[in-house]
Amino acid sequence: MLFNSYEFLFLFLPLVFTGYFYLNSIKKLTASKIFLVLASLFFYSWWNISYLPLMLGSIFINYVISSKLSDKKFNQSLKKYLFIFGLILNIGFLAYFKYMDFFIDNVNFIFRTDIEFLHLALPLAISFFTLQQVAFLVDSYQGIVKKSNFLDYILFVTFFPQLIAGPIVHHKSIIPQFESKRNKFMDYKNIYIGLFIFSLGLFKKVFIADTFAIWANNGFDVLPHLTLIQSWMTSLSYSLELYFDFSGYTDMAIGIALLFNIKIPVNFNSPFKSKNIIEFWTKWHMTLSNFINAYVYTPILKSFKKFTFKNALITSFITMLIIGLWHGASWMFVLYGALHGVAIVINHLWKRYGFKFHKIIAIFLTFNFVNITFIFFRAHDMSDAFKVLGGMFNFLNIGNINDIFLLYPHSEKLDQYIFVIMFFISFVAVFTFRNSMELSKNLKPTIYNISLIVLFFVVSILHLNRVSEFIYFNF
Amino acid sequence: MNFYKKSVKNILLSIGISLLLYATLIFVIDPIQQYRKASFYKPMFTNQRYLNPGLVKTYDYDTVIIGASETENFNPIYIDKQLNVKTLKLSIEGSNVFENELMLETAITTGKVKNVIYSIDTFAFHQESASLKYSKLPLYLYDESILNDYKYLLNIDIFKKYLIKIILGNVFNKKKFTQPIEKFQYWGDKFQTRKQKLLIETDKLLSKHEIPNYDKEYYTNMINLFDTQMLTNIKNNKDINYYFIFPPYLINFWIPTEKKPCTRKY
Repeated sequence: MLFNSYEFLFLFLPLVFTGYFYLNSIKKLTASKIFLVLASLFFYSWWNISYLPLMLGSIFINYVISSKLSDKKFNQSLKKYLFIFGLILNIGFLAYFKYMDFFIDNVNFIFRTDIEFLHLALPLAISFFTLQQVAFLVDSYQGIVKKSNFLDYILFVTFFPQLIAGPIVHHKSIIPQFESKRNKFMDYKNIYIGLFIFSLGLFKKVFIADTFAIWANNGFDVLPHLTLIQSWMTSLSYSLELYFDFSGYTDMAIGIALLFNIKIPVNFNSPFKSKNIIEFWTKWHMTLSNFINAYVYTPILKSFKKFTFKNALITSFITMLIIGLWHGASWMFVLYGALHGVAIVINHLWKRYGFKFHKIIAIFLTFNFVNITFIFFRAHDMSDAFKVLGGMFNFLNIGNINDIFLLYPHSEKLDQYIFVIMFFISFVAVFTFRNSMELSKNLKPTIYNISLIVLFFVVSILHLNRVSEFIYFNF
Repeated sequence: MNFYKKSVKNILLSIGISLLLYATLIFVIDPIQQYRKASFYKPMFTNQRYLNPGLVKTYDYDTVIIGASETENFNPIYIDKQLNVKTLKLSIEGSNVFENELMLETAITTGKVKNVIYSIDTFAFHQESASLKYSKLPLYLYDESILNDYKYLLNIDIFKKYLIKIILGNVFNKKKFTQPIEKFQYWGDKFQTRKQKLLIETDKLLSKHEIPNYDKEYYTNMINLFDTQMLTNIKNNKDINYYFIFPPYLINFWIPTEKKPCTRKY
């Protein structure tokens, strides 16, 4: 079920919200948790129920292994093997469903074999729930996890606001919140702030990102050749689409969770205001960066015998390759990761040798680098990527400003005006406006704020007919 | 805390009232004539995929024209005179066989249809596009259920594509927005004296799109789609007269198509 759908907004969310707090109000605390788990499983199964046994199987096996790992009475010498088995199981599960055909394709290419593809459909949310469970497994092995019951564990993994595309939540911050008795009752301040963040996210997704998507899709997938102006509009539209789509989804997830008094972590912190690429990765998809830092970067770095600057750079590069590959089974994603890896290495070097740019130049360079690498992130293959990238620097074919409307064929004049205005406002907004998390701090229930929430909701609901999925559902 | 409670209530109430007001406005004006034929204003005839299902429900007719853009220039008044019928043109620009069939089924469901003039457009059988999956039809308009009407009543596109133009046409007297139904997607008079321009325009179009190969695979697929989609409907409606026509394609499209050996063979 999509957050931006009638069935979610008018049926699922009101029913689950009412049911959860009703059960809490009559002191059926365990029943309310079971209700939330069942609602989350229903939410997950709405797309395709055939993936449900896979996810439940993964949750059950991980819980059993983690319980053994955190059990102090369990045979210590067996723990290590059980931990490795658990890791292989999770990574193997992800690799089988997500990367098997990619692997076969490469084997076929290198060894000139003709192994048939498996054509496995990627189970929804597999990349997200696997990471959360790996973190739980590692922490259980390291003795950080307090023994939790199965109900808390399954609720932590399946809680519907974050289940499909994150933010990637950590058990340490989530499970205690479900335990807290204060969180069992409706908190109107949280509901108010939750509605604000949710409405802003819905507006970002439905009104802004979905409009940019039309332009980006036509530029990347439909038009065979692009002028310089069209190429820039295509790449900038995609960068803005990706940001507003994913940060909009995250805002919605944070807002919905807050309705249930659960605080899930921030995922975006105005990333396009970053002055360098290292800073960018502390502000873009922050929960992924945090996970990778704790469970990939640090262990790789520790595996070197010596902690040196050179080893840290090598680790950074490898980590970025893994981040690239996590996004999807394609060399385009690996290339995207590699480009960011190289940029991070260069960034560390110039920091070490004391190079500095003026703030505006630094933001300009960082944004343009990110914008260009997003072309490889979006393009299906190199020819698609070079069509856009080549066009951006083809000064022999600048084109006419009116050609930008070819990126939105059969559109109404009104839609074209809306797009141009929205493009400039969004472009300015990502560099200068406060982000949704900053805005929600100390949010007062003023007429202005209430009107804004109502406006965001109404405009978004009237735009729901352009229903589209979120980009990060594919990863 | 009470202040937050009051604010939450105000937000939910304001959203509900705003949506209700918008839905009421759309229901009363009914820009695509889903519930009633426009009576107190001159309607806007545009975008067949949205408008046609309303026309079949609220207009009087006994004959329908089914097909893609090649039928757009058919003149219903001329057909009425020649065949002594009352015709409603239900062309859908760039339609495929599934869309045409759904359009026809929606019309037949009203019980008004006695004759069907059906254009067999070869493009409509193109394998990749011949499914509802790739169609842009607003399917909620093509059934009789009122349960999904919220998608019409709470739709900003209806406001942008129709309501604004109806206001411009009726209040500000902009005539291009209040053309009669006979002019609905009719462009036959546009190029009559500009034959050369027409050829240039279509040449431009042909340079962007490849002419399909009407080969054995295409032919087999076409027969298959005819049997599974169209023939079933014909058999289920034996009291309706079907007139199948082969559309008059543009000459500068037809000549290169005809020259292909596979076209001659199949």
